[in-house]
Amino acid sequence: MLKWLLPENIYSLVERLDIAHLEEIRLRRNCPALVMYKGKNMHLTYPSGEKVYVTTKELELVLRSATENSLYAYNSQIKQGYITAKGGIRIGIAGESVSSDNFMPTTIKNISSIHIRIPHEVVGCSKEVFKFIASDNGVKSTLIISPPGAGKTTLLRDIARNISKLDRIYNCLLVDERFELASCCDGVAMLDVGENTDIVSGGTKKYAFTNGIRALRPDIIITDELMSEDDILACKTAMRSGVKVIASVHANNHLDLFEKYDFKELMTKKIFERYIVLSSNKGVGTIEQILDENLNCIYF
Amino acid sequence: MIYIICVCMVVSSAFVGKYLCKKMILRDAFFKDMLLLTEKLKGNIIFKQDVIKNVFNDFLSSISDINEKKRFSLIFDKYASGNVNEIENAKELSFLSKEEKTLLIRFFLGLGAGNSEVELGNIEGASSEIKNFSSRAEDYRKKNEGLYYKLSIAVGLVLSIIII
Repeated sequence: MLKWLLPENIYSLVERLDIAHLEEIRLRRNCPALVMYKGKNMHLTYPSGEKVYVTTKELELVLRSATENSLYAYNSQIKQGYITAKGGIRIGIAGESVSSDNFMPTTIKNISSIHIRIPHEVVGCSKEVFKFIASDNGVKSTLIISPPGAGKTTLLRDIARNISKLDRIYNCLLVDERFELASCCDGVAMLDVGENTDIVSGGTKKYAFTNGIRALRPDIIITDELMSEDDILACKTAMRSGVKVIASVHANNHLDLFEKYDFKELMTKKIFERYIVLSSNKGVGTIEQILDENLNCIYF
Repeated sequence: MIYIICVCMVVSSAFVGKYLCKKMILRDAFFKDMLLLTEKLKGNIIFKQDVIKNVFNDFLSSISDINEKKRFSLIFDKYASGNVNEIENAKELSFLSKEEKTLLIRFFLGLGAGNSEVELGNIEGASSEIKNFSSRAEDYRKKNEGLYYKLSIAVGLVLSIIII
């Protein structure tokens, strides 16, 4: 899975690990390579016990492989700090941001570290929450609240899959701005997101919601990481158009959301009908709470 | 019998002439295809922004000559494996001069390493150099192809006359 992406010396060590438990690989220039394996960070070491130090050349090699020798084709992603490579592998990039005259980032140069996240499908992980948000009688607009790395994307993906399995057919639109949910490569979803799901990858939520509602007439829109005011506005517009929205947001709990952008309005106006709070307390994907539209706990 | 030998001699010398012209024909065709490749790359960057591998595949499917296809496949393989410098010693490209090979290596080494603007600038630059090589190769072929034929046939005829 990673042979095409990693330098030979690093791959030869990574290959010995069980890919099912390998979550991340962090390569920082002139620093030891780090992996997150079975939920723990550890240094990659040669059999002699010596740490693997990452060179500039190796970082460049990973970047060239990830972009299939076509940096220009990935520049719109690179300037946002990530690349989605084959197989849904998400590569975060850190380096010097280059900006245009109007302060818009145009690219990242002198890349200093690369963070490779290996996607894992956890089929059935939404079983517990699904009964609270969807049935043949209808689907509830839901916001998944979680800190980074607590499994919200995996949960959203499984929800999309399970919605397709309901007896009643719902047309689902998956807005995958950062290619994380379906990980489309050459127009094909690398990860299973259900058979009644249309996927719009790469565009902004505002663009995808507006055009998607107009052109694809979805019953449900599923999207990841609401970040900006535009994203929230797109959600509101969709829900006012009668489309249910299942989305996620970075926060520790629902109380944190009152401090963020326009989320306060979203919550006080009861636009979302369910809130699922996730954490990593008892492992990735721990369900802390499920709240209804009045923020009453209905699952603890 | 002697006339048959003479005819064979003229025909075979014509083939020798054709063989001698092969290098210049290959070079001419190669640069024309290189120009086509740069056009495809430019078009892709401006409109489609597809990865280079797909442009290469599209280009290869547009080439009908099997040997030419093999030559370009070899270059693309070297490019994909990061061994572009090996082009210099490739037997399949022996019809190219050192200067021409250097241009190729420079072009493929820089390909795909920049954003759209950088990439277009590089391709544009290489394209104008390739155009120069192409027009030189075409002129040389036009000027000498007929001459090589005529000379080789003339040699065949002279030998035939000597035999007779």
